[in-house]
Amino acid sequence: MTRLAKLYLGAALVLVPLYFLLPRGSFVQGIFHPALSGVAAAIILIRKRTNKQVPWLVIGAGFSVYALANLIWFPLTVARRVPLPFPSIADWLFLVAYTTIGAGLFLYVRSGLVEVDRGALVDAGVLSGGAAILAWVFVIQPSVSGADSAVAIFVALAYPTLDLFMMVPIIFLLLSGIKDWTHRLLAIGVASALAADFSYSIGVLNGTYHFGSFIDAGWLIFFISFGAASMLTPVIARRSGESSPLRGGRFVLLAAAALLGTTYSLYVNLHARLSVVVPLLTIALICLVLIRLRRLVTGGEISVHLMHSIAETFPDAILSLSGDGHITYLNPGGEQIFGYGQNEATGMHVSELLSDFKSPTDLGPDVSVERRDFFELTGTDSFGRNFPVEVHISDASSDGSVIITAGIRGLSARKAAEVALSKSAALESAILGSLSDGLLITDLDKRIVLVNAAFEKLTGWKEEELLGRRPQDVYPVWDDSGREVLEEERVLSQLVKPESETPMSQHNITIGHRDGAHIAVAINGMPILVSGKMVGAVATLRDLTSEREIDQLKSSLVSTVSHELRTPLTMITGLAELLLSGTMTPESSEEGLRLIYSGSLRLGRLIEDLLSVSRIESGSVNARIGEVELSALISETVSAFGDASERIILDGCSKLPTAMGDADLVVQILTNLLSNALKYSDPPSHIQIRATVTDDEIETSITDHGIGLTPEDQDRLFQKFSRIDRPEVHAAGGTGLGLYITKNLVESQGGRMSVSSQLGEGSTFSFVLPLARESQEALR
Amino acid sequence: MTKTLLIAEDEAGIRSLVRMTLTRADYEILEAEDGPAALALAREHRPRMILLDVGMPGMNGFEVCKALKADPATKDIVIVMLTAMAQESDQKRGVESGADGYLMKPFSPLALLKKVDETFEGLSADE
Repeated sequence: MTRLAKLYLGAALVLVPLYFLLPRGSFVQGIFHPALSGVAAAIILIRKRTNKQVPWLVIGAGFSVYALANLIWFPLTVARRVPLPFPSIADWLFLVAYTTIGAGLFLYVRSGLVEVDRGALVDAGVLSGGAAILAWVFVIQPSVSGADSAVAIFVALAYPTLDLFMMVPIIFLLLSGIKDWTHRLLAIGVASALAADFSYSIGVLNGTYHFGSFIDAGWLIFFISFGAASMLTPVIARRSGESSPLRGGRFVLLAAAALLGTTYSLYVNLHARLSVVVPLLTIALICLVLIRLRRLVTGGEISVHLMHSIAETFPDAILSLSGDGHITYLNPGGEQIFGYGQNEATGMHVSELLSDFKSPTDLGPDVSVERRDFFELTGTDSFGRNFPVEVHISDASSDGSVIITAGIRGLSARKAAEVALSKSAALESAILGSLSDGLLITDLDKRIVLVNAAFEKLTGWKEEELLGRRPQDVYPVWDDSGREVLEEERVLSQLVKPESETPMSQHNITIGHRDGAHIAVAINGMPILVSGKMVGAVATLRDLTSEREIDQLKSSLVSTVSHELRTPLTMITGLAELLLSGTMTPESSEEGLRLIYSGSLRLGRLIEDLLSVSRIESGSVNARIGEVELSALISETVSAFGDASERIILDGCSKLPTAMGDADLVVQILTNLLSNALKYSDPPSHIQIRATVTDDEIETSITDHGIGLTPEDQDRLFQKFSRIDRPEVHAAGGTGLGLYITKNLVESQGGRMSVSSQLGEGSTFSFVLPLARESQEALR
Repeated sequence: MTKTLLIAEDEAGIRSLVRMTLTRADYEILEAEDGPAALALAREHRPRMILLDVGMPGMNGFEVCKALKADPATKDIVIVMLTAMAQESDQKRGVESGADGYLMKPFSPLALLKKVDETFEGLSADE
């Protein structure tokens, strides 16, 4: 109820007791009736509404007439000290006013409904009729029996009859189950008027009515209630034409109205002056109730009742729709699924819940004659989330005049299937993703339908770029001899041929990566047969790059080891053979022995290098990390080089802070780097060892002024068996393992290694080791 | 007749071994430590025989052999390949490049001397 309506209602109701405090029959008291009814008429007429204007205008017109009648009747009554003769002009105006107000109420009820609740209308008629009979039998008939004027009797009877005429729409509204203050106020107003008019009719006929009696309160409340009701915004739901269920107290009430009152009135009539009206009305009421009972007996009401119970307990959603697709009912299952309460959903358009369900007529012209079982639609809940639903149409009419019930099938089984499907998809995705080999599936037209991550990596193309395309349009393929493979020779083309039903044996090809690189792969293929019918082909591609690298490495190892073993072995065995032959001069013998010794050392180094590589590869380099005095280790290593150490200059290498490392490994690193520096630079050029200390590290650099390195050489310098194809490098010999080993030894101690070099000018090899904690603290 | 022989080998130790083996038999030994030097010395001195190491910098032994056999002035030089590589592909490449013999490291210096002697004797007989 709005604040303004409350204010009006409160103020006006205060006037009612005030009315009775005034001197009875005073002029001021007399003014109350035309004043309050006039205010009510004005409020009703000036109310601003964009719809349902006509019923209220009619009601307002009725109240205007009422106010006019009051204006005539009360002042005259007051002036004459006795009521006007009955009937007067005012009584005729009152009757016109009641008729108009009653008509307005009917229009009001009708305007709010698309379909009439026939059950409620019948019930309203029965109750009103029952009330009219009771009123007649107990109140009016005894009173009018003594009246002498037919006109007076007619007018006197017209008052309560018209009141009853107003009751029908009000009772109907109340029976419709629409809880609204407008209807309540209208009901209160009509009930008040009814009570006042009955009392007045009897009082007038008996000559007992006096102006200012308590009967007047009924009319005052009638004016006030209607005025307040018109200020509210009524809720009249667009109800379906289905009869409201006949059950509980309502059935008892109807039965009582139709049977008890009428039976008694018939009994009274049989013993008194018979009136034609009462038996006729009685028969009419009984017929109406029988009609309702017939529906009950034939199952109409029971089925509605039963349907309602089923709908309330059904786990799936059930919606009733009006012809234009508005929701008139949503069961609790539907509330769960869609997340709307029944009240929220009522009046919403079905398309808000089922986005692709525009209106019942969209289902097609045949829907009224042919039962359409299931529609796959998309449901939308109150959070805006979409989900699949299956809609079942139980009954529909394409003209929109018949209601439709749409049941949304239980989603549990479907959800379970979807979960299973998504699990299966996730499993498939996980399996495909975990494969290290590229996987490609095509349809019969050789168009790609699926690839895995490894295939994407192999070709450089993303799945979304590949789907629907033919492999030959995406990447080139070459055979082992380097010849480009034609489309019809490709594995997939061979596989999808009708006669191909067996796997294709593996063969090696080279495919073109998106970035232009050539990737050697081993390809296997197999046709995909479903129920014996070929639907496509699957191919797996194994990247041979690392295998080829391993082959290359193996070949390098054999070649290097073979060369490095056989060369010193040739010197040792050959010279020993010459010495044993006794034909050598003493000078030659001495040179021979020296060469044997040098060859033996070389063999020893080779064996040591191979063992180091083996340890690195197996991850078993066990660096025993501890505090190392780098200054001492550098001096020790340098002095081990004998005469060659004269070429070595130390720069900032004394009193170095303690570093963390393995002393034996540090010596091996220094020895390797110094050997290289001496080997690849000519005397008398110097080799410089320089140590630089930072906050937490110490860097040792060995700089030579030898042959130097190209940038390409520097890139692969630390790889296994990497030897630079330059005469001066060949001349110096070596396995190509030294720097690979050195770098790994540095890293095994938590350090790092780098090189900087200029071709022809020399190189600087540096390694960094962490400082001991106490050295770091001392430096701070 | 001068008994000039060229040893082309990047390993100084092997060159020393060959020199010590053959100088006692009055062979004149020329030494080259890479492929291009070997080719130049062969063309300049036209030795009767070349002991040619396969794995040399600059030009490998196969390339040097091929170049000498293709040149009418040097095609008659007896070329014996010395190799530390034991793969069959190396022997095949040696034959393809026109080498007259093949000696695998480690070799016996006395066997080498015998082979050289025989070669020179054969050459002398031919003359």
